Amino acid sequence: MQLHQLKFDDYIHKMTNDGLCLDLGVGVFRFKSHITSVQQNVYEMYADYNITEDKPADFHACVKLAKGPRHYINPQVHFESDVVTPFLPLPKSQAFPLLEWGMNWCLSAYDFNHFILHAGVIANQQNEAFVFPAPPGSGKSTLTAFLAYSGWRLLSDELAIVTPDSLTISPFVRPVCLKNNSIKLVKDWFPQVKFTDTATDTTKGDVAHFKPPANSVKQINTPAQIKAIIFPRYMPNVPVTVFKLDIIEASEAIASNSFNHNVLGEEGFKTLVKLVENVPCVELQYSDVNEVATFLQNEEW
Amino acid sequence: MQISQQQRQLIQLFRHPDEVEFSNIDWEALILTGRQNGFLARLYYQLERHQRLEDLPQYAFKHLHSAKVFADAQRQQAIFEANEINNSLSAIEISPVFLKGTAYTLLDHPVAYGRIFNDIDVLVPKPLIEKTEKQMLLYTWFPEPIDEYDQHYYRQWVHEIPPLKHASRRTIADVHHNILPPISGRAPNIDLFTQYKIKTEYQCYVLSPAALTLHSLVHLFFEEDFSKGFRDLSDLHILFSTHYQDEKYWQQLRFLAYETGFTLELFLACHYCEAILQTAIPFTFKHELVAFSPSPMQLKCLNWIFLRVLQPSHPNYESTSYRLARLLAMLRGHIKKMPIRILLYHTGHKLIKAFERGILGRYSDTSSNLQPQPPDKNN
Repeated sequence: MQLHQLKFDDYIHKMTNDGLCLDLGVGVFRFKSHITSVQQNVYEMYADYNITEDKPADFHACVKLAKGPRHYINPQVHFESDVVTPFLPLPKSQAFPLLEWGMNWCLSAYDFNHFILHAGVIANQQNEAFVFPAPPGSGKSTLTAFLAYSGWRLLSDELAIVTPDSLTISPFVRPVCLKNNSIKLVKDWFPQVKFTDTATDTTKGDVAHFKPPANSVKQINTPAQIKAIIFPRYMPNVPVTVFKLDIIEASEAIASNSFNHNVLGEEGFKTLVKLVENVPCVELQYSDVNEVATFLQNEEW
Repeated sequence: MQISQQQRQLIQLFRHPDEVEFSNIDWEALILTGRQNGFLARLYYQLERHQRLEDLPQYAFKHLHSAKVFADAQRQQAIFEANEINNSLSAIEISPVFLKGTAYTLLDHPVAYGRIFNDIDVLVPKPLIEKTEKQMLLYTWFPEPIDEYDQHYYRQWVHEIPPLKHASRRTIADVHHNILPPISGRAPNIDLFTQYKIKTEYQCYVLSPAALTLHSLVHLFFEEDFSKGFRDLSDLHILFSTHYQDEKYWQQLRFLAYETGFTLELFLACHYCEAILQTAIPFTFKHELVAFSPSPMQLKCLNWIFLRVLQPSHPNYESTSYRLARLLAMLRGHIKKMPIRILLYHTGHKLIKAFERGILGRYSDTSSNLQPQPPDKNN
């Protein structure tokens, strides 16, 4: 049963009791929250995900109000995974983004079975994945969002989940997180896509989440093979320009965007080598996302 | 005493992995309990020793394996850091002795496998503390900012200096000159411990297994925070079991405990290992221990506390009596570590600090180094 098929009242009952379990492919998440904005946004953003009844949950994600006298003046919220509180509390208006960041934290803290990269990932019809690892501000999320809503398959806008020593990448489809100017851009490009209220003044500026395409959600259990690793760099007024990275540059660039290659040790190193030896790694300067889409389609890798 | 199903199953899995029917286990609850007790990676290695990994449901294997990968990385890191510290200190002719997790790792002792630990523990002679600190500073091990009170607390009363953090690798090193705070009045002549130091294949010194065992059990029974009590008890179980046949080990353990005045702690360690983990203790040794037993009344009180706080714990099923036991254990730990006059002064100071935080918000005190890190890398 998909979440949107569950009555809202029953949904709230789950969220405020044992938790709502959703299958996200790489794992089952158990969500809990008494906070209205979190409840509404999860219901809307995760509408197409399957509810699991009898599987144990892999990850635990809960947002709750912080206690203390501050509660009455300037309420704050915590992210809690089972009994662990990994972050500082945030203003209540940022409750849903906090849940999303917390979910990323769950993977990075408890899943050392995968090589995890900070990257957007999309795939074409042939299940060939393009990975966009990049630091904030490079336009990675905007590019991923554009492609995801233009018919490419979204695997993740944030975390590339790679099976160690392979080129296999597992989807971790989630609401797409956009910041500042990108929010308006994507709203204008794709007026039909549902999105959350914008949380202002977060550490990353303004943040809004966009509902992932239903088609991508349907394929959360279908892995893809990495075709290319592309480090995007948005620059105003440049045509699409590509620089090939050599093996050293590529491995350094990948390692610096990896969450856990050091924890994975030898497996992490093997994965790094596998990637740079088998997959083209390029830096891509662009100003127009349409040109990037055309480039990705036409380039012979 | 009643224990919950998760507690029983966790202990069963650790002690009798061959007899457990995996399909009867509520794995989600068990994984959470194991994680809370820092026990998942240890469980992985235990099941591996008994060749039961293949029988695990995929869900359980996935989580145990992930914990094992993390623990392995820590083990590797500990060896690296120990070598770094050893090299930098041998340059000024100080040979540090490594303790606890780092020592187990350097010895490649079974207890090191799957054991999670947070810092590298180093012991140097007290007169060399200042030199050690300066030298480590040169190698970019910096103290974290702490307030004047805490600085005073460390320098005046405690057996270690404020934790040092490596600037780029962020590893924490705890530099000790004793195993207990001098203010407790129980700090032993540390030479009695270090006379049993041995050189490992990595050219680093560690305490002998018997001295490490005594340190571990003294630590446990002077502890005030029992959130990892079960993990610590299982350390002792593994140490005792590994050296079961080794007569020298037991002899040294008994002698050292006697010389340093920790015979009660030794008795308690064996007593609770037997009671909770059914640890085998050599018969003759047990016989000798009787002399160190506290009075029946005392033992009854201690049992009430320790048979609770040394079980695996998880906030989801903590009973009121468990919480009370934990509170009593905390008080006991504090009183054992500090004379009451200083303890009251110290507690008063900490309470005022806590009150300030309560008013101004939990993380208002920016000098505290216990702050969780803000989210990063996940824009």
